[in-house]
Amino acid sequence: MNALLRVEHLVKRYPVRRRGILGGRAVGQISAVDDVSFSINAGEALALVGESGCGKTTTARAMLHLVPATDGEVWFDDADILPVFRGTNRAAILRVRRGMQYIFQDPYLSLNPRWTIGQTLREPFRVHRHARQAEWPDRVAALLQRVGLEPDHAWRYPHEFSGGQRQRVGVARALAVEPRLLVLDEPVSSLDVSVRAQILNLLVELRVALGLTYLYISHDLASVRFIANRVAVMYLGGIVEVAPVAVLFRHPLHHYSHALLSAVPVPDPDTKPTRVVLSGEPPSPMNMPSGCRFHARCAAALPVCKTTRPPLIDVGDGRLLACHNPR
Amino acid sequence: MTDVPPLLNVRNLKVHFFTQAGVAPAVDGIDFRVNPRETLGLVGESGSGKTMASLAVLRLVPPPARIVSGSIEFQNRDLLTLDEAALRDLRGKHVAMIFQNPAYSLNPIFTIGDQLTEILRWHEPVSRTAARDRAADLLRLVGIADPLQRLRQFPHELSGGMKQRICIARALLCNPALILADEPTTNLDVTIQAQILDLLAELRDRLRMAMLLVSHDMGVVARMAHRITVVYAGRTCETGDARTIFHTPQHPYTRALLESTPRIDHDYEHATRPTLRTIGGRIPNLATPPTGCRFHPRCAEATEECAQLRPVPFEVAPGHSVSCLKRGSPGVAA
Repeated sequence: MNALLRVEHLVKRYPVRRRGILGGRAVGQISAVDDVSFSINAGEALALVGESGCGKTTTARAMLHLVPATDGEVWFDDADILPVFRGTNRAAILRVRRGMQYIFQDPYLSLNPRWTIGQTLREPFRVHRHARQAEWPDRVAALLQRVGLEPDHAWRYPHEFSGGQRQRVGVARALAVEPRLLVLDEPVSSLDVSVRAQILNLLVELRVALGLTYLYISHDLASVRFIANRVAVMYLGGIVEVAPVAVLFRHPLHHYSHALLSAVPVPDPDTKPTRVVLSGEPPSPMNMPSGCRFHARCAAALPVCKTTRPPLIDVGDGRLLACHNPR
Repeated sequence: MTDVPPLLNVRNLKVHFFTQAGVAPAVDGIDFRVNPRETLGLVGESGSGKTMASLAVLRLVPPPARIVSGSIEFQNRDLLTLDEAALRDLRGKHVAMIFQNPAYSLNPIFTIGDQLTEILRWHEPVSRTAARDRAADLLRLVGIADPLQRLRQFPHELSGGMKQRICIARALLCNPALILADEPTTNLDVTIQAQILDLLAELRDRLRMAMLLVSHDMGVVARMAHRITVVYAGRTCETGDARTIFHTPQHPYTRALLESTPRIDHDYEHATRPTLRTIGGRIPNLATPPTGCRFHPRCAEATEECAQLRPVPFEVAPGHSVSCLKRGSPGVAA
């Protein structure tokens, strides 16, 4: 199958400055994303999971040039897109942007409170000149219905909606330009359980009905299991394991994936926790450990783990793994 | 355990918000009970009143909210009639609280040591050095290495998981009989959450404490609680032991809540389009709550009478009570 999106050796570093009278000086750098490569096939949902600070959101943002990447390449539909974003050809930039849209975590912050829902949904058409102006009202109505809202809702303001409805608007806005790839950054984590289920169902339904491709970013592993086909586990700026969802959840090979999955509490009092409790906390990305990023917290670390970073290699079953001493 | 007198018994608690727009009954008749050495999980979504109910136990509900009626008995004393001095003696000493966000519940301008010893010296006549030693012991107990160094540090120097450990140590300082833990791990990453839950479970068993665990996360509650009370829109839906609530829930809301949560131990791969059960509609606005049963507008089983009558808790089996007209609860005109 052909990859719709390929991310190759993506790097994003932030300088750390000590503040001074004359602007300060760089005293180090944070490697938020450190040599990340993955690909997503057309029609697939890839989940990027990991704990806060592991670089999953930065990866997605660097991929879409919402923050400029330090290094690396992003191929979308066999075109190298980061040079396009860095260039000045606005038409070309918009063409790429139409292909990939972003849905934000917080539906309270990602909608303009002074715009009606209709204004918000017309904006992509205006910016991208995606449809003739005469068609906009019909298009907006169709979008609202597509995400389970009423056409009348176009006249209302965000504050009149609940969190779940606002996230539906966020989804409708992303769908306006008919993208092929949606980047979903924790789209349900600010929603209550009963509403979360509605949005998760909507996302699955839309993907099947419209043939969309998802990059689903989340720390909520139960929702990942529900929505994703494949899962990439990130730790401290790097991917440690990628596998089909059932393969990974049944038998994670990387020690960090295992610890992460076993830490999720199962909603059943009879399930005995077979938990690998990780000691300590992730190290600071400012002084990245040598060798394997995870070696200091890993119970199975070998001497080689301290010195050599394990490459992400294919180990069969559609699984990629970066570990010298897998489970 | 039913013949043991409960440590904490909350009956028909009502906490209302008095706003300019009117009175919002955020807690409108919640009942729960915590037995000695037992953990009760108080489960509900946002706006269910679970946090207000737990704050009410220490009479800490913030204005414009007020406890309107009900009774809260702790060790056979009615907390709603205690005077301020008696309350001050109670808070932190007999009943301690662990809050959701450790960053907000620690004072940023005092060291960890100041904040821990203050509580001890308030409640007990101890010297400064004895208090410091006790604080250091507790930090060691909650798994913090190098406690004397930590006592000199400020909250901003510590990570979220570390801060929550300190809040746990602070809650344990005076050997309370009851800990109120309001979403103690919600802001933490899963691996840190697992560490903190393990720690809480171990300390609770070792120190023989009772706990009221307020949470929206069914997984956390399954892991920790002996008994569970489910609340919705300010009222109790169902109470039972943990196994009953998870395996044979009776209230339609409890069932829907469990079935609408994606599960990490469930394989969705075989379905081309997996679907979760959803609860239609949305959480009611508490300024204008639904009449009758609060859940009836979203309930698949609701009938005419559900909109008219308020169900009162009914014991369907020993220790398992449900507030639903369809499960035999008597209804009272609402």
